[in-house]
Amino acid sequence: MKFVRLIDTKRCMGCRACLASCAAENHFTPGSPWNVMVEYEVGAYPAVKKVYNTMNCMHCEKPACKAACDAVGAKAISKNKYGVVLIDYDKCIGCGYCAAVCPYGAPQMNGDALEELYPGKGKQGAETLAYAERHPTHRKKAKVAEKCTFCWHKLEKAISDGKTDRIGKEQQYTPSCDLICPTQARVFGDADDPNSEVSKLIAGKKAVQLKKRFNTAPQVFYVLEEGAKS
Amino acid sequence: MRTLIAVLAAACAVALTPALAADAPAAKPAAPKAAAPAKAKVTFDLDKMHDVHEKKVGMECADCHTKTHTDILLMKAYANKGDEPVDRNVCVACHRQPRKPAWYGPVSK
Repeated sequence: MKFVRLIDTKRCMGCRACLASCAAENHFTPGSPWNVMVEYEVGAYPAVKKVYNTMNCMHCEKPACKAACDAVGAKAISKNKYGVVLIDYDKCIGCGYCAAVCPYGAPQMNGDALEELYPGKGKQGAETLAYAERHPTHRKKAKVAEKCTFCWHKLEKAISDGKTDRIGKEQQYTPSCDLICPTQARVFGDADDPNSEVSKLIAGKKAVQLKKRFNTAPQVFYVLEEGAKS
Repeated sequence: MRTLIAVLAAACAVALTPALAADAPAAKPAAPKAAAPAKAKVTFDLDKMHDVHEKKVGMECADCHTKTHTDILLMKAYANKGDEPVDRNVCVACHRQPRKPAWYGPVSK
């Protein structure tokens, strides 16, 4: 089983529901987002189009961040057998090399102190959980790198519940950003299953990986507008 | 025991006096060297990154901090950070060469 995501930029209308749901689910530190919206225009007047391209960790097959982290000796970044790239906050030494080498700008460095998601408004949602009760990917620390985990806490639950067939279909077993999309521009699932929706869409829509020149083999695929950056 | 310590202290004082005298203006007691921690936290090691590329490799600032950044996806992803990121196309050009740390996979065919 290998998890992949498809993002159809032709369907995306730039509402940022995916960003908001990620913020609420993973309460990332403001200024260190796990998911960002990149907007730009393509074409020439009057035939112009706006491209909305959400960027999160690509969970690469050959992650540059892991190569750098291993070279530094921290070995804080791992890629599990499901293809998910994770950062161990306890091992991270905060050197920032992962952020420096990632072609996608995915790893984000936390500042000297953790900030609340809504500064000045108190802890919200998952932030109210006691530190020890949180999933390891949510046990935030200052001065370490963070990034999208494909909502590993949900995938892990699906695996332990024996509900992997519900991944991509049920909110509790699917990354928060995917099912929330009102235009169904995001699809998540198993690339090893040729009959999964995501596999069919990747093949049918001729989805591509971004920045293939780096040869990190990303596991996030995009359906791009004509003229969009790849 | 006390006598032995006193003798050793006196011997040290005698031995160090010329050195201290020669260095009279800066004759402050040397601070004890702290043992280096096994694994230090190296948060935001941007200086080290610059040291490696400037001093060891001998690169100029403009070699990495180009003014011809074409990677709009990376630029925009970093927009909230304030700093302009180094174009990874510059990184990959070197980091695929032999004897350089290989962050990126080989060129795809």
